[in-house]
Amino acid sequence: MVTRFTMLERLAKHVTNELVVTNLKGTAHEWHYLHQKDSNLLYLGMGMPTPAALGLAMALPHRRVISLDGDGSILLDMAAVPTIGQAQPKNLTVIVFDNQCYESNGALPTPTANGTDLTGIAKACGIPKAKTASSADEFEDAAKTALTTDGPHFITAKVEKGTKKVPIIMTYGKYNKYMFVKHIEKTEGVHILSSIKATGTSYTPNKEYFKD
Amino acid sequence: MKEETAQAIIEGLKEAGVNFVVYMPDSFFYDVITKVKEDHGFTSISVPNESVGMCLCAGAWLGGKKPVMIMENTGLFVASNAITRFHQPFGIPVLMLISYRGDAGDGWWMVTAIGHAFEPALKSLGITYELVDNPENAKRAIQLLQTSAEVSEELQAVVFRKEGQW
Repeated sequence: MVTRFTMLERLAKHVTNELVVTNLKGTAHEWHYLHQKDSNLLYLGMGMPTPAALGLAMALPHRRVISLDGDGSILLDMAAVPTIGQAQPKNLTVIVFDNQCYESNGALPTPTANGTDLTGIAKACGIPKAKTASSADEFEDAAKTALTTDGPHFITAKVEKGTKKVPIIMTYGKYNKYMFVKHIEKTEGVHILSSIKATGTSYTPNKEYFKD
Repeated sequence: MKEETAQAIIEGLKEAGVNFVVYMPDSFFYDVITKVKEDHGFTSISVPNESVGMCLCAGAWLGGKKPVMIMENTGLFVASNAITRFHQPFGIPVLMLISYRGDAGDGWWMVTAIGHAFEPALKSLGITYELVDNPENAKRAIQLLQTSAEVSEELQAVVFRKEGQW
């Protein structure tokens, strides 16, 4: 088996302007090290990256969206998977790094260590383009296909335990959110932050107060 | 629910600029959800639980949509992990429309405990809310709280009382 970092290196070769949502801890640190962009939304809690990525994909159907999730995280709330099967977003790729354990808190096993088949679950939930990749080449091929063809795609990347020693992200959620949203505003030509005018609320700033 | 009530809620959402509706099927909101599904002005999707729903709303907001989560109050407890680990630390605004099971006059024994826990939970989660009991103040609350959500980048909830004029 290969490391998650090796697979992320392979993925990074093919990612340009895609929007990437990541799981927390090792996945976030490694991806941030390899691909430091404002188009990354990093460090989402367990069970949250994939449904958040689905919301993004539905909001921006012309943009490719990638969820970098983990086995423990997606198992926490499997309800995201049939929701993807229901929505059928063509622009969404879910990559689950399956190290078969809860690595960040001591590496106790997840159910995938006892045979739970995440790819099989995804297929049964209406995602036919689901596959398992166990080698770096197999993963890179699957990722390339996912980023160039209609989805939804679901890749279970079988990885060994272990996190690469990379610099820890020195940021926090609100800062990351603003950078991400500003990136969306800039690339999509939309106004997201505090768009009060769009609601019809009238508010006229005191120009005298602000002039200095 | 009366036709005019469902219509008022739809109008409230539209006038507030809401264009992305996530719902956990709920008997109180059935007529609203039916109208949403038929209206091409909304992107809508049902979810198997409210935690997934709230995360979907968060993703939609990050992508430039104005989301609303429609749910029963029981779902607040299901969604509390996402609310405390995602919406609050990142500052993600989502308007929630919540039906109040266990409210005064609710005749079902199973929802009594939810009724006790619900409003304290909203307060402890830092969610600003308005209790509404008729279509007119529901529509107004939707508009006001959507504005508050956008400005504060926090969660806001319009709570529909059990014994309202629906």
